[in-house]
Amino acid sequence: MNMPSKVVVASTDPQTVFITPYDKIGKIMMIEIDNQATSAVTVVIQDVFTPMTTDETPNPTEQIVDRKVITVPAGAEYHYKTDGYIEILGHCQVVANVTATACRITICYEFE
Amino acid sequence: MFRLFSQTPELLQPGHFVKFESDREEFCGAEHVPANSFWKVTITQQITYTRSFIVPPSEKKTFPWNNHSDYSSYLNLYPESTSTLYEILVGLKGGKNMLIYPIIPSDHYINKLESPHLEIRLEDEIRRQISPIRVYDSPVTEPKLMVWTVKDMETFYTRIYNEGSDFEKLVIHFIVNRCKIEKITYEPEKYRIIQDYTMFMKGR
Repeated sequence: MNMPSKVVVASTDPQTVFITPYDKIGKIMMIEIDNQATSAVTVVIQDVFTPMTTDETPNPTEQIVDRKVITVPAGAEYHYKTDGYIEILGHCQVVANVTATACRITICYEFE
Repeated sequence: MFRLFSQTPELLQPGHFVKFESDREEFCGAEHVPANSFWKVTITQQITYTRSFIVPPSEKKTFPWNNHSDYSSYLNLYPESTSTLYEILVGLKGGKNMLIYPIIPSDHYINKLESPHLEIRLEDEIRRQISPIRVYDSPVTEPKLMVWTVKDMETFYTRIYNEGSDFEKLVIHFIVNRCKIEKITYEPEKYRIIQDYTMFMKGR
């Protein structure tokens, strides 16, 4: 099945993977991490969005919600087929505990 | 003025007839629509429109359907012409734990049981289960919720409540069947009945 994907390198600066359109819900379908760095890398997949104004929260602020945390040992590969159960409401970004250009993260996704 | 069908209803077509049924003098407070009057649909146009809402857990939002320059808070789904009827098919997506309630006037739930012990209360886990529309009741692929609006009708509201434990995004897809209508003086053989909300409230 064809679906969009993006590769980013592990970085302590958040790397944008995709932006969910207003009328859609993002679904992460697969995650692959190839860590050829010399140390373990912890990767966090985050969902960034601002909720609507509600009766209880008249001035909502931007939320950053961790959706998945994965630690991959040095020299290891990680494959994870999620089948869409990780939902992204807003912007999907990836952030790591270290910056490592030898650690590449591939995320396949869909919009529903 | 709204109805949850058991299957996706057909949209009104030119040549179809409607009856605005009410137990008051006029339908939903719209002076140009006398109670129990018959109208003929002459022209139709279909407009799609989508809104989405991200709601924190255990929080609610009430939004009106009438027209206002603040289009982010108001749905703007009322006609501006007295010869227009909006027949709006409502499809829902996402928000698996969202509860959706029709409200009119601003804080009065329309759908309720007759028992005085089961007034809808969102803060009560049992009493908030009375009458909410959920995504599976009218999914975007098979919408079953229909709302009708006319110019100057009393303001109709929808309240959404997230009873889940995480933020949820509810996407509401409207198919607006914009119908030009003209009043007729005879009772046609077949017609669609559009009921005033007050008729739902009988027996309170």
